[in-house]
Amino acid sequence: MCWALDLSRNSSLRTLETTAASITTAGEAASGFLKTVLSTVTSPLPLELVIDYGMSEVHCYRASYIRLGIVSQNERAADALVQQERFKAFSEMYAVRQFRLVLRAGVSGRFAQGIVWALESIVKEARMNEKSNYLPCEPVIQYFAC
Amino acid sequence: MAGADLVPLSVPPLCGRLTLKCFAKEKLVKDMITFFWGLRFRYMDLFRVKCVRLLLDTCADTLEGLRLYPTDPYGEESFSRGGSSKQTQAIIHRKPRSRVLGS
Repeated sequence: MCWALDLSRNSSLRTLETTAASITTAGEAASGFLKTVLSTVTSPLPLELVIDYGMSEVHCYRASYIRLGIVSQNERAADALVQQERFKAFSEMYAVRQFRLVLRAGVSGRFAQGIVWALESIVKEARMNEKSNYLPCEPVIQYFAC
Repeated sequence: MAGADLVPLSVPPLCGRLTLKCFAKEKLVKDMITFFWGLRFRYMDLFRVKCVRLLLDTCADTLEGLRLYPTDPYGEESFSRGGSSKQTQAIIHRKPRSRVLGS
């Protein structure tokens, strides 16, 4: 067997993108998958790892949901653990190949502010866990209109 | 120009962004490489694409961004299914030839 996503010949590669949803779906396998891909990158250019967040990945962090009780404390705690594990995986991936971590979300209309706040909360929590080395590098938050 | 001297409609290789989902038509990609004298995509979004290796190798010099998914079952595949590197190179470097459309 060989790894089909061997990027050793892609000398101009500078961005790898994936979705937070697919990382969640793949579970523990996601970290192994992405680490294997990253280990094949030989491009000398600085690499960006872009994680696209959708509404479902940030809903537990939305202030209005918490305030209105749509998200319970248990849900919030469980999701915090998921985010923590995700950053732990980023940290492991960073050890394989250094990259700039970009957390990106599409924002639109009245949901925009909530998603922005949620992503900032996720990064803030990750920063608080820095003593555990879960934050591999200072993440960049990007938004785009959708 | 006439007859066999006709050139393809798109002379430069295909470039820009390519998104493929649940795509297994490897022959179509090979035909595109031949017809357009190679591929030069700068960004690819690939999920469940059987010929992912062929695409990555063909755009080796131009690919700047790749979107991938840890849930992709085609992340790992055998050389026999994905095509060997030699086969890939043979396709990439095949000399362009003129075609007569509609003949």
